[in-house]
Amino acid sequence: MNAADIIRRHHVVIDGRGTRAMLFAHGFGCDQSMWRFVAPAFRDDYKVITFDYVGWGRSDRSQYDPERYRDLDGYADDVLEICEALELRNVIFVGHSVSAMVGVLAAIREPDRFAKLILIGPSPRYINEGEYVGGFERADIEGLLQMMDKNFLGWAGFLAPVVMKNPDRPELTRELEESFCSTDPRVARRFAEVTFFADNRADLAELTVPALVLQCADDAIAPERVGDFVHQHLAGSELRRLAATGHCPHVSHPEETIAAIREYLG
Amino acid sequence: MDERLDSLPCGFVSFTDDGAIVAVNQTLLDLVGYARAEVEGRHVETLLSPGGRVFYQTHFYPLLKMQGQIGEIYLVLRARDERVIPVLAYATHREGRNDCIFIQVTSRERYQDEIARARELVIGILGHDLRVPLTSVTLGAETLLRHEQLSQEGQEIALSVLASARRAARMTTDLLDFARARFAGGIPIQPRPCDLRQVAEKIVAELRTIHPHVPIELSIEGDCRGVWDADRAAQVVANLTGNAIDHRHGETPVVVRLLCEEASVVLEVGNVADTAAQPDPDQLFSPFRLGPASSGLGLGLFIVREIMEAHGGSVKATNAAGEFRVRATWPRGT
Repeated sequence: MNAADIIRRHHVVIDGRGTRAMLFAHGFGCDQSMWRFVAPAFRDDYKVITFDYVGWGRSDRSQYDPERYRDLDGYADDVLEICEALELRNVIFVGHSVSAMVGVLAAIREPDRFAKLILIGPSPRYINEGEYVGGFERADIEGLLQMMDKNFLGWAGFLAPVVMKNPDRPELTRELEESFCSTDPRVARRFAEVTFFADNRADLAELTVPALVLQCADDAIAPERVGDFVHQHLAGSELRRLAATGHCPHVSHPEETIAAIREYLG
Repeated sequence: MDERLDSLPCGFVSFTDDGAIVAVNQTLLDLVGYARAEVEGRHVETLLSPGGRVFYQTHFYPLLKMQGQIGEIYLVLRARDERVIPVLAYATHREGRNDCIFIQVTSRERYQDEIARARELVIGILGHDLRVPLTSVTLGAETLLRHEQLSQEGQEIALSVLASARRAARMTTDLLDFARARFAGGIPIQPRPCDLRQVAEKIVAELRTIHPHVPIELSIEGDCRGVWDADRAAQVVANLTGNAIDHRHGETPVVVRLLCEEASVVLEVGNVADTAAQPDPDQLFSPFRLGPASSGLGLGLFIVREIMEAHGGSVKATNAAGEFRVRATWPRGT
């Protein structure tokens, strides 16, 4: 694949006036539109890059290869291929949720590509195991997969384009005609399994690139103990606790998220 | 809380962007078995099953925040006594507040589970159970036909058995593709390096053997190598050409053109339209549309469209000046 193919495959969007690259990788559940409250804040100082994984948003869904994406390494390949296609160096990688681990895996493979990693709600292992508390039992994840099956294949309304009037924010109305977070259900189902059954704890020790762990309060998906675990096992990492609650501070508390990233980047 | 809101026939909960429950109605409290004081101020996730919390954080809340509203989302609540309660959720987001209603769907869910099982059963039967006996009927008829002592009558019977078994096998395959396209998220494709020139030549040669009296004109231009699913491409060529054979006017020829260009490969199949039937090009690709001359289940063009979409391509039909044409376009993979 040449650079243009990679850019098309991931619907890579480049914005901003800076030269230093900031690459934003969306997490499980949504596409690059998730960054819309945070990424624009860095436009003046950075080259802001967002993209969709294959199967999400406006990516080329025909390029989905179950073999390539059978574990997170395939997604790390995507990140590295995007970096190569855009000839990026000194990248500041911002990854949410599962993409935090994708960024860690990519930066282990090609440390020279990356200057800093910003990990929002990272977890190397979601399922409890022995002493390790990931936050979930296997049965909980099975429950999630069932819920996804029902929402994707059963109830017609989910993820269908919603056209609505938005008198408060008219600038959003036109955009809403294209749905947010549109997903290929088969890909999403598979990605959920890959994500929630993954175990990347042993990989953490291999990262040499400096990283910031952004930990939310009351995060049901990546609880504080998991954030602490990541911080302890990533040499040269900083841990920053946010007042923001939940798992998506870049959606729910964009100002605080922007400020924390800015402060870390200096 | 307003008395009528409190006793609405559905659960109601209002929570902040932080997820803190600000108000909850009695119907919801009764459903989950909590007292008001036990949930007010707590996170709305308190009401959800563990899987439901993940779904809430990864799908429900981000979509609600970005779209301002969300509906018909299947969630599983968890009651105080750990019972699970399936619900459909509808919510709106305004000025930092989220209003959400839950409608219990216990019996609807049983029905949905039955449908899901029926789908799996259908796919299992079509994908395996029916194919095995059909294959043995086909092989049996082929073996019989090779017998030299077979009488004229025996030959005719064996030929007719063979033709019927092949037709049944084709319909089984079409139904399986339909079931996958409709119920399993799409027709699966496996793109590999291949040459569509060879695919088109092979399929047209086969069709010429089956229909010796039908003139099929094949022309191919350019380099047709690329990364696609060759078996599925063969299905596209066969379905479109077969459709043209069934619907051509009188003894007019069927024209198959394969144009391999830099950005894409275009397969165009044309025939002089049977004047008796003037199909609406937009409706053609719906499933189970049987024309007067159709030989199958009316799924051929539907499957073509599904295959093309799975390749990131497209298919279009035009019907102008008595000439009916279908154009299928494969984008270049690499």
